[in-house]
Amino acid sequence: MSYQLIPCPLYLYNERPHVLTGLLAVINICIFIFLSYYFSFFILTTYTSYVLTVDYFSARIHFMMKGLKEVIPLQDKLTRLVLQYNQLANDFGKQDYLLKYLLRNMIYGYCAGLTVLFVLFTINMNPFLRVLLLVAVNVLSLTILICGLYVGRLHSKTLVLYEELNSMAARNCHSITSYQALKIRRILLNCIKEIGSQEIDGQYVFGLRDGHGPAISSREMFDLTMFTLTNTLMVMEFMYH
Amino acid sequence: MAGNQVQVVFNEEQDVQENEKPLADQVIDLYESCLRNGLIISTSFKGVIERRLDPKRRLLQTIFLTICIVYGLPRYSIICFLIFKNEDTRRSWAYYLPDYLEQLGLFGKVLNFCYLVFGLNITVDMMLFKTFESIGRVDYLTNMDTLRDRMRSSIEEEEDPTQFLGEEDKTKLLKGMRTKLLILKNLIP
Repeated sequence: MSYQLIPCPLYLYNERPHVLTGLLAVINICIFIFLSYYFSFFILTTYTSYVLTVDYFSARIHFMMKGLKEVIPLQDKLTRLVLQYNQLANDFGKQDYLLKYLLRNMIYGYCAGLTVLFVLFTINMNPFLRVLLLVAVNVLSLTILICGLYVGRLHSKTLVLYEELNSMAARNCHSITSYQALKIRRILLNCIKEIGSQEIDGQYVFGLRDGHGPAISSREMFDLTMFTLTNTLMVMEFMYH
Repeated sequence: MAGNQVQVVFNEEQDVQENEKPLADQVIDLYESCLRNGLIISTSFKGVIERRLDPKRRLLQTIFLTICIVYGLPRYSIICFLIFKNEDTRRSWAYYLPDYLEQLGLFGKVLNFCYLVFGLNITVDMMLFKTFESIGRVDYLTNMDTLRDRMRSSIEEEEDPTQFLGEEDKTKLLKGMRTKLLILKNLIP
């Protein structure tokens, strides 16, 4: 909000514009005070909701992994695991309905938005003014950065689950005695294959994704951050030379 | 005076009732209120699932979107376009589009781009939320409603094989959520 409140009076005092232009500036500032309030609330809440979704799924995956370590009959363990897996996969599928579009926007925002924010940090100005003006920029860029990296973390979590399931399947391959247990083990192996499958357009993805590609991974987010830094340097080169 | 005392007692009773609520309900209510304040959803999770939306908040969402699409985005698009143009062109437009951010120098110029990029992002996101909310499919948010304790009342007390979150994990998750939501709530004036 201070970005609107500081320069408008300065503009009116320095430029002495025509009455109508001055009026337009004042109307504009009123509109943007209304918009900025919801802008900041909306953007921070949306990013927090992504973080909370990741937390929710991480907790569920963690609970599944904890169940693997329990000492109960193998068949019961496998049955429970398959049920939990199906529920989780079902919920991941449901997320796709809206979240994939939001995450795609987040990725675009990550590239373009962060580049602009990083450029703001490089501009030379009075140190006191810098402290005042860069607070919001700091909060926003940190939120976007942390949220982006946090979303990528869920993929790492699913990979840990994949490893755990694989090692459990390998450990217990000789303890299957009944036909039912064999059948469940077969299903479990299919689940493991599904988790391990790394993508391909239109296919099932175990995780959060942007659009129709693979799940968003930490690696992807790291690459994107590097790409953003490169973009920032490019814009700086364009601006200062 | 007596009226004030009654009000204080009433508020205290409300606070006690709030504190008596289970942690899950407290956190999910807090989450819902944050989402409602950010115009992300217009009503509670239950209301979204049952498609009983709050018309006032829907109207506020529409007003916000209209201002963004009709006024905010075109204004900043033109201003950003003009930044690349020569001084004469800019001066001729300055009468209709006072770019007071230029008073901050280069910082102001870059800030115009910032408003454009984030404005576009927010507008598209809000349109998505509004559309999907109207068909009751904001699944990634409404999913959180399953964490409420009342959801568990229908489930047997004994360990349920389809249970997707243990009590310990759930408490840990809820505490983490509460911390993040409180930070969010304090961050925004």
